[in-house]
Amino acid sequence: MARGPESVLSWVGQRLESEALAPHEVPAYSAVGLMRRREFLESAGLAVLGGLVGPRAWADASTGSPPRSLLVHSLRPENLATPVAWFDRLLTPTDVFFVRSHFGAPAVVREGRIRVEGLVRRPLDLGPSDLEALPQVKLTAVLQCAGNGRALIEPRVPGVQWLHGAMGQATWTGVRLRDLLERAGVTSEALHVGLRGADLPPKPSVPSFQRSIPLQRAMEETTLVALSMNGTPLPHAHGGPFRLVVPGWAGNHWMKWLSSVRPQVEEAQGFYMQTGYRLPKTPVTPGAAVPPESTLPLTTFPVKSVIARPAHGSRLPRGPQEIVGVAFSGEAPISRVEVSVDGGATWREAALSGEPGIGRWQIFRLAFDAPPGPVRAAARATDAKGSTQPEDASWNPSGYFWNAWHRVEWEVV
Amino acid sequence: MSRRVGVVLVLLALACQARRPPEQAPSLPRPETPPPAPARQAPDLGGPAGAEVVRQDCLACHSEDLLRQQRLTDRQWAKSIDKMRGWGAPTEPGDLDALAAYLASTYAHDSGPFLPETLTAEEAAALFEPGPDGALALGDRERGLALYGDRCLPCHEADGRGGPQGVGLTGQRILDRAADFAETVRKGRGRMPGFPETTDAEAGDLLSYLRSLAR
Repeated sequence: MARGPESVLSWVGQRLESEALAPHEVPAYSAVGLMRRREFLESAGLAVLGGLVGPRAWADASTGSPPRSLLVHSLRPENLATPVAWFDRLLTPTDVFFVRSHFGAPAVVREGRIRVEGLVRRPLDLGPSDLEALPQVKLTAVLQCAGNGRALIEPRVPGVQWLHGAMGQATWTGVRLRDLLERAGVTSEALHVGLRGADLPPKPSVPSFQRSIPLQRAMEETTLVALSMNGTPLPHAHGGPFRLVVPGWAGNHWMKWLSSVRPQVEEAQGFYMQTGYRLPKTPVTPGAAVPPESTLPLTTFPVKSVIARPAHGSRLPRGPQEIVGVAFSGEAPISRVEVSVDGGATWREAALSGEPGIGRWQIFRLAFDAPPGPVRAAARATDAKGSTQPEDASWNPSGYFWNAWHRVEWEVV
Repeated sequence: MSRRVGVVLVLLALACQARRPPEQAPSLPRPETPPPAPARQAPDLGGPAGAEVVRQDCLACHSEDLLRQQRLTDRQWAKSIDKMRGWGAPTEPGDLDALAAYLASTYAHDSGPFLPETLTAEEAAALFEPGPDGALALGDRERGLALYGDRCLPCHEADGRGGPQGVGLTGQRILDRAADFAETVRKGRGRMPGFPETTDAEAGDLLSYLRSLAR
């Protein structure tokens, strides 16, 4: 039986990747409407799919920069995703870098302060000039929301329905958290460091976003209080004037609008530490309810790669094709990225560029020639600890850490 | 206002609520759109009454797009409602069935893909920038305190952090948006009644007081 559009689409997955092409670039999509696109595409067939999208979006991606835009998951609080086409470079520009907030950005403060309090011998109250006077450290790291990819998890779970765009890589400059803790004189009882930001919940009955990281992680060389991002002062949207940077760990640890650092004996209490941002200790059946005592706080994000281009659903001229994307792991540097152009039957090793590191992404590229017809590409990364991106992501009740092979399909004509 | 209003009125209300005065236009260039047409036939019970509950009880704290992107089963929606009531959503028991039916039919688990709106990088950056104080500049904190005690305190509480009836104002971004603030004071929002007689000077006094509250 000839392979029809239905089988091709079901291989790609039940949901089309709307981040690949912003709706305003694809008039036919908006004409199809909000709810019926999938049904329309399935019934219209692959030829129409190819015709709907493509040359223009491809031109955008191949001739320089993708459109400078963000995708709105919610305006209040602000949750904005980076279009996937931007994941073809080492640094994600700040103005298209994704934004995640639980309660929305707080009112701007005239001068940010950080208090170092709790189990310390000398409590500190520091302003920008105090922090600028300390040794500055610069590093490059991926910031990724724990829920990135939630929209791809089956059965579906509530939460911000991110596809791939809740991640980005930037340079972060600031002071080591360790330097602040040592200046304050952390006492030996402390095991965790409580973190608070200046954003307040919409009413007191909503749990506040308070968290903690283990003291051991707080004392690592790479844990920073950042004052700048990609070389300019940290914008309010990204937690300015100060946010925590915890390379390799998911974004929930990267406290924005950081206002209090508190060494303490216990892990932080409250919803966002004891209920949210936790993973089952052992794999669970998809759809199962998991009691909090069977979970642990999530920390390092698993190995993952994302294809920036070609755009899913595009239509490209025959001849040389190039697949470009990023690969990273919170646990170890990337050791290889393999790409398949036949739906996962055979794999070729892609070329890597950029400096390897934990929680730091590299670019992968694979060039090949394709005859006319559909290309069913997939990418899978492997890190230096030997973990490989799985064909299917493991399910968990809040849809964290989706990292299945990224599959992208286009039509060569 | 009766909750049993027509669907058209509700959609109009949502659209009007999302619209901003001209001076605010750059910050929110794409107004929140009304919910999509139901993906499957909504039962009568869940239609307009449910939409009105959403407007009054949910949108006080978050925008509608947060709901619109969800694809949940009836059971998941019921759990989400329980969670939000636990966090202080003021939905009365008599409205719960209508709310659950509305959410489960409007944002159903089998709805098609969610297509996010886009903002240009400039539009997105503008979301986070304080707006001009304009006619609300130079308010008087003491007069603001008196006005606050008279009109706002019953719902927004003495510390301005909100309570069962009102959302928090202390440290919230609306204090950076004088035009938005004045409009909300005059027109109300969700369950909040408007105070249409409020002058610019009075709105400025209130703003001055609220900005002085400790976070």
